[in-house]
Amino acid sequence: MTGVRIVLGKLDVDFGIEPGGTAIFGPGGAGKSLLLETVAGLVRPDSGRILLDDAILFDAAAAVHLPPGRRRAALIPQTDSLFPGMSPKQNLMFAARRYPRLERHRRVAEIVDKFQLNANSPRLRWILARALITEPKLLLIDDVGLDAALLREIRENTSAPVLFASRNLDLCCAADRMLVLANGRILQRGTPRQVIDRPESVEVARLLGIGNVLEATVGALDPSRNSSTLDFAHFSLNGPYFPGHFRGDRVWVAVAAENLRAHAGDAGPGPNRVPLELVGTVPRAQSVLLEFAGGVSVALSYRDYAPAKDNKSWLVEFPPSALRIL
Amino acid sequence: MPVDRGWLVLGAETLSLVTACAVLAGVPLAWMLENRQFAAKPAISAIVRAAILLPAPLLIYLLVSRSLSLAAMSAAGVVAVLPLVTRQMRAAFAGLDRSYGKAARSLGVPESLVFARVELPLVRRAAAAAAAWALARLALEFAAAFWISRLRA
Repeated sequence: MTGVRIVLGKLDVDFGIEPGGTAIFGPGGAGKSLLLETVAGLVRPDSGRILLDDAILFDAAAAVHLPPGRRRAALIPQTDSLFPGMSPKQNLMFAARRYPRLERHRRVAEIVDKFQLNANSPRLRWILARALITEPKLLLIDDVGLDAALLREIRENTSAPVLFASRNLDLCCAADRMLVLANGRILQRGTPRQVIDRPESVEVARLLGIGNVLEATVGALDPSRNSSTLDFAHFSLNGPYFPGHFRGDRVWVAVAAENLRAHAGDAGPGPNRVPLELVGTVPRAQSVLLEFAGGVSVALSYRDYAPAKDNKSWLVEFPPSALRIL
Repeated sequence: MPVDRGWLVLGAETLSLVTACAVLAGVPLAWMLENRQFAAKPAISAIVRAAILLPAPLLIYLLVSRSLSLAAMSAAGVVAVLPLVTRQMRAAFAGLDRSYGKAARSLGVPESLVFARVELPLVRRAAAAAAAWALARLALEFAAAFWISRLRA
């Protein structure tokens, strides 16, 4: 069993670490680095318990606090931590110094081969190789600029669970599980798909960058027809039946900007089509973000936007299946 | 013909030896004070701070006036500059990027090696500066002590 239940100042978390990759997603100052350093044994929590493969690394009640070197939880800090007084290869030799000389050389040669390391390799690859050469039972990676391919490579080279912190949602999607951390607390946990598709709170939705989080009143609910009506400040929408809510409830509705559609004003009325005034556009890498009055944003691909950019009026369509009540 | 030992102890060899002793003791002490938690830490920190305020020429003069031995001069010199070296090196260790130490510790590197192999190479310039400063300060202190002792004689 591997799990972390710790309290340290504002940090108050309780979660299990399962095999595979677990992403800790959160904004700067959420406590991601502190959490990783606490698990690594560099910071002592005020209370709680940390278990790794049934071994107690920390237990406040029993006054157990294993030093970092005995935890076998390799930490990769946020900044470049390749020891400057040594060459990258010497870094590997230094990390592997607990092995006999021949074994050490064999291991270094093996990991250099596995990671295809050479003088031109990015320093992050050397740092990862240095961490893996010690055969950690848990790999802790701070927000170091990993990408999905490198994460996959790490997981191919170790059976240890990988706990990594990131502000990159795309990278978090490559993990098996995801924790959303803000102000030292876990707001939501689950598979990346579960978290992204079904944020449990307004805060999570905003952290995930869901463009539209709008306040509404439940105007009608009809379970037999699987339908509902949501009344917003300036328009109403039809949605599916939302279990657990009652007529008159004030709710937050989240809709990803990518799930909305924008049509020219003369496209004609349709289900859940609302005329809105365009107030601005924000070019992005893959799409243009159209910002409408009332705080509604729609992401449109450049291909779809090009013929429509001179539109005088717009209709925004809210597909019922895209509406999420938080 | 009698030899004036006062001039001899002011020689470069003694100054170098005393400086080396101060640096060899001061650098690890600074690292300990900056990185480790131990019971005597507040007391040692207070002594280091207080020792900076000691009137070093007076200290050396008192020691010199009782004995002109090399050991007494050296001890007085180390006491005079150790707090300066410690303070300067503590500031250097405090300014280091902590990532190196964190990574090393989590890889199972013992504290002695974190100090000697990881962090000490990063502050070698600060150590050289501290040594140069200690040497200059010692030369001044020894000269002052020597002239005071001659005036007294």
